[in-house]
Amino acid sequence: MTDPQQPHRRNPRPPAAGARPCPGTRHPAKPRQGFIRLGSPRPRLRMISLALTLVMLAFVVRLLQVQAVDAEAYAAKAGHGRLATHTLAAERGEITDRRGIALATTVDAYDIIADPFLLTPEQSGAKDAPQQAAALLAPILDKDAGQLEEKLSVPGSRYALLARRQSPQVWNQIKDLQRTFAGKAADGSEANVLAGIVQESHSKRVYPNKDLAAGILGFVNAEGRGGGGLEAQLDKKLSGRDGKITYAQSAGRQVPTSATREFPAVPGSDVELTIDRDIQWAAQEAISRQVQESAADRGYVIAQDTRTGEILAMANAPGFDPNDISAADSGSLGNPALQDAFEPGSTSKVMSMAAVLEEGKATPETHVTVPNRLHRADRLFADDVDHDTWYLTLNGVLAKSSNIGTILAVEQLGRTQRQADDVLHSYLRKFGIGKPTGLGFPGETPGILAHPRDWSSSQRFTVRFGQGLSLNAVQAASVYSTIANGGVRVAPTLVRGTRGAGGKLVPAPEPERTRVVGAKTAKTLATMLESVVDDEAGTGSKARIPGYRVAGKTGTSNRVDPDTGRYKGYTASFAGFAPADKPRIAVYCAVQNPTRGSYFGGQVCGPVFKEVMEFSLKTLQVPPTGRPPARLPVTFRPGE
Amino acid sequence: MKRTVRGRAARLAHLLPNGTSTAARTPFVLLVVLLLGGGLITLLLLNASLNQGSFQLNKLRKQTTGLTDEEQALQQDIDGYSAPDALERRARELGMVPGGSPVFLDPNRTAGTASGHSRKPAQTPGR
Repeated sequence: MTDPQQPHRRNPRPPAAGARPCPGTRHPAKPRQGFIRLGSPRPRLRMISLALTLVMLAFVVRLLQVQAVDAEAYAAKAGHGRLATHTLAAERGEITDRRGIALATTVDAYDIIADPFLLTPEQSGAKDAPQQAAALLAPILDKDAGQLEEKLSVPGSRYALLARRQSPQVWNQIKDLQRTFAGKAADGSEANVLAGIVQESHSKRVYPNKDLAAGILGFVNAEGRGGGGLEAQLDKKLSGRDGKITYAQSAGRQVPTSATREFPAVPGSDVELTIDRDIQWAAQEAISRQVQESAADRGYVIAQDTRTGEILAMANAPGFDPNDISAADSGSLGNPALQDAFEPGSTSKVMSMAAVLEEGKATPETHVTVPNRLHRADRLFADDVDHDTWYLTLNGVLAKSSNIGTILAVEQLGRTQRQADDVLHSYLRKFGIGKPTGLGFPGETPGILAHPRDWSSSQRFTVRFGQGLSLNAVQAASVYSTIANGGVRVAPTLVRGTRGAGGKLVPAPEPERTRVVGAKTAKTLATMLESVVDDEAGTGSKARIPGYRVAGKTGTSNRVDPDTGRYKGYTASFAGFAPADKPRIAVYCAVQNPTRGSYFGGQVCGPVFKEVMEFSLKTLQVPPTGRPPARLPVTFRPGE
Repeated sequence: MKRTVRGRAARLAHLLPNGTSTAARTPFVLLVVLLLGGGLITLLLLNASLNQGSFQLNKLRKQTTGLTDEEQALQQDIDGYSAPDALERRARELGMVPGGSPVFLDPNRTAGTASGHSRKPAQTPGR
C-alpha cells in the first residue's frame, strides 16, 4: 500500500518552510518545483522489519520455551487441579500347597476412619456425639467403646483411625447404620452422629488355615510387604508391580470423554509350595501335642520326599497365627526348624556308620566289643545306660545306639585319630552339615561344624556320636533322605514353582544332586536302621508301623542352653524313613528340653515319627513292598 | 489519468454479478439448518449416552465390588470349614477317630484275611 514509487507521496515542501499539510490536501497537491528527497523510506522500512523480526523472534523463543522446553512443567501445573492420579495396587499373589489349596491369600479390606471434627457439638448438633458413635461402633468393630470415644473426641483432629483391615461386611454394617441416621437427621428428629465415618480401602493378607505352616509362610507387615518367612523371601515375586491411572476429573468423578492414561498394575505371581497341607497339619498336631505333654521348650517335625527332596511338611511348636501377629509371642515368630542350630546326638551316628561302611572298614556283622567305660583323651566315655561288656555287631552298635561302639568303629577310618577325623569330617560335609540347606530361607542357620584341626581333644570323639557339632532340623532330615535315596543327596526344596498371569506353572529350578555314599552302602545302612526299630533290642520300637518296614534312629543329646551356653537338659529326636526297602518319605522329629516324663528320643519322638509317617504314607498312598525284613544280627557270642 | 480510472472501473464492473441469482435460496438455508440441527442433536445424544454409560459403569463397578466381597467372604467360610483342624473336630463330633495303621489284603490268599505283615487288625473305631 505504501508504494514508495508513487509520485504523490512526495513531500511538496521542505519541512523548514512551514507546517505539514493535512492529509486531505496532500492528494491533489502537485509538486510545483523540482523533487527534494528528504528521506528515503528504505532504511525506515528496514528498521521496522528488523524490529518486527526481533519481536517475532522473541515470540518464537517464548513459544518454544512454553511449548517445548518447559512444556512438562506447565502441563503439570495445568493438570494439577484437573487431572487425578491414582495408584492401582497390584494384587499380592497367593501361596498354595502342592495341590493348589490356598495357604495365604489376599482379600479386600477397609480401614475405618473418622473425622472427629464432624462429631464436635457445633458440627453434629449433639452434645455427646463421640460417645454415641463409639457405643454404636464398638460392637461392630469388636473394640472397647471407651477407647473409640477417646479417639473420636480428640480436639482439633480431623483424622482418627478406628480399626484396621476390616472386612467389607463390617463396612456394609456401618453404611447401613449411617443411612438410618442420615434419614433421621433429615427428619430433624436426631443428630447424625455417624457422619464423619469413612473407609479407606486396603487389601488384607489372609491365612485361611491360621497357624498351619505359619513358620514357613511368615507374615506380612503393615505396609503389605513380606515381614518374615517365604513372604519376605519371595516378596518380589508375590507383590507384583503397582500401576497408575491418570484421568481428568470434575468434582471427584472422571470426565467421560477425556483421555485417560493408564499403566495397569502387574499382579504378583502365585507361588506353589512343596508342602502338603494335610501332612503339614498332621505333623503340626503331633508335635504340638508332644511338646505340651513333655513340657518342652519347642519341637520341630520335617517330612521330606526322599526322591525329589521336596519338603512335604515343616512344622514347629509352638507356632503362631500370622493373621494376628500382634498377639503372637515374638520369640515364636520365626521358623525354628531352620533357624535353630542344635547338637543332633545319636541320629548323627548314621553318618559315622556311613563313613565306616563306605570306606570298607567294616560290615554290619563286624564284631565290636563294647566295654562299660572307654577312656579317650581326658574323659571316660559311657553309653546312655550302664551295662556289662556288650558283644555287639556293628549293626547292634547302631541299634543299641552305643557311643563307645561308634567311637571304636570310627577309629578304623584312619591309621591315626587325626586321619580318622579328616575322613569323618569329609563325610559330614558331604551330608550337608555346616552348609546352608539351599532353601535360602531368611534367618536360616547353616549349623556349626568346625574344621578337624580345631576340634578339641574330647570333641574329636564326641563328634562321632553327634555332640560337638550342630545342625538344623532340615539338615538332619536331609541326611536320612540321602540314605533313603540310595546315597544321593537331593537338596531340599520348598517351592515347586510360580504361576504367573497365564496360570501356567513355571517350575522351580531342579535341586542339586550329589552322591554322598554308594548305593550299596545306603542299602546296608537302611537295613541296619531297620534293626533300630524292628529289633527287640533296638531303641526305636515305638516307631513301628504295622505292615511297613521302617528304618529309623533315635537321638538323645545333651542340649546347649541358649542362655548360658552350657549343657543343660536334652534334645530328644528321631529320624527315619519308610518303606525301608523302597523309601518314599523321610521324617525327622526333635523336641527341645523335654522336662516332663521321659527325655529319650525313642520315647518322646518315636510316637510323633510314627504318627506323621503313618499319615504321610496313607496320604501319598504308598504301599508296603511286602518283602520280609532282613533282620541282621545285633549281638554275637564271644568266642564265636 | 481519469480515463484510466474509468477503464479500470469498467473492467471491474464485469466481475460483479449482474442482477439477482437464479438459484433458489430456501433449500440451501434449509440444508444448513438441518445439518446444524442434526449435528447438535447427535452431539446431545452422544453426550447423553456417554453419561448413561458412565452411570452404568459406576453401577456395574459397585456390583462387581459387592460380588467380589461376597465371593471372598464365602471363600473364607469354605476355607474355615475345610481347614484340617475344623474337619478333624467335626469328624470327632460324628464319632470318627484317626484310622491308624492301614491293613492290606493279599489277593493271592483267601479273600478276607489280612496280609501277613499287619500284626493285628485296625483299631476298632470309637475306642
